Amino acid sequence: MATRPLSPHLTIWKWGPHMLVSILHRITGDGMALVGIPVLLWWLGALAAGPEAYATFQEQANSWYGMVVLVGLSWAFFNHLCSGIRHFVLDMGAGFELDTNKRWSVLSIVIAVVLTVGFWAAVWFV
Amino acid sequence: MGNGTRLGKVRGLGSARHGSGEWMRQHVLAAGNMLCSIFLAVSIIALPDLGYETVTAWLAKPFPATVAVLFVVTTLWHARLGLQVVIEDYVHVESNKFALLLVMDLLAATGATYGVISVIQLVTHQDTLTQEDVQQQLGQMMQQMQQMQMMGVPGGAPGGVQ
Repeated sequence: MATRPLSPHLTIWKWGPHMLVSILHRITGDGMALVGIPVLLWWLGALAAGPEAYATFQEQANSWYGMVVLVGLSWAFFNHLCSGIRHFVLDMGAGFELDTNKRWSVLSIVIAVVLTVGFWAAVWFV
Repeated sequence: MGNGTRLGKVRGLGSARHGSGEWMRQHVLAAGNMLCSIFLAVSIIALPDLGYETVTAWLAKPFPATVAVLFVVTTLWHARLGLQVVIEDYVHVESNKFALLLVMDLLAATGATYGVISVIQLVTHQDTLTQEDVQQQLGQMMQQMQQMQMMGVPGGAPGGVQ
């Protein structure tokens, strides 16, 4: 193992948006799987169980920590959606040029934040 | 693994031969998730409020309920495949990996079943008639029965009006 030739550049790299978007894709996916799905099932279960159970859910959801979780989940959703669509494009073999790749990495993160703000603005004000 | 022969040492270390199928399923499920979640998000924005009556009346309708069931199933499945990749990336002890994947399968199957059952319960328990509707209909029936009795129709009120 030790004598196997290794790339001398494995530890030499510079941070870039493409790395951030890739890491965020995994973090937001895991976050939604481990937190979002229990919240979704709680919501559906409370609706099925009746008004009292739903009132309990609403009480927690409308608290400050409930809002932090829900806003966080919605951001995770939109971020995962945007970087997921980016993956669909990359899987077709497109968008690998350095400047294009960088631009869409940054844009997918920015668009996700805009969509999150827009979603809550629509829920509260429309 | 083998008994130390050169072939025995590498046997079983190759591709499991169903990775590309799982990769493709993950992508198809992602497309399904996207359609379902956009429908649900737009619907939630369009609802006048998120109170119990409003949400149950909406979710008990056939189409929203169908989308909700599809959303629960595709999301749990997609999440299960996604977590599998993470586990395979970071857990290298075979026994731990096997146990984690098994627990994840059980949790995903239980979660999906719970979500689907909840939606079905919403659909079947949702009373489409309000109490006022029921009272109005009862009142009309009573009136009709009284009219029939006045006209002398025999058996106009079977069993009698109590």
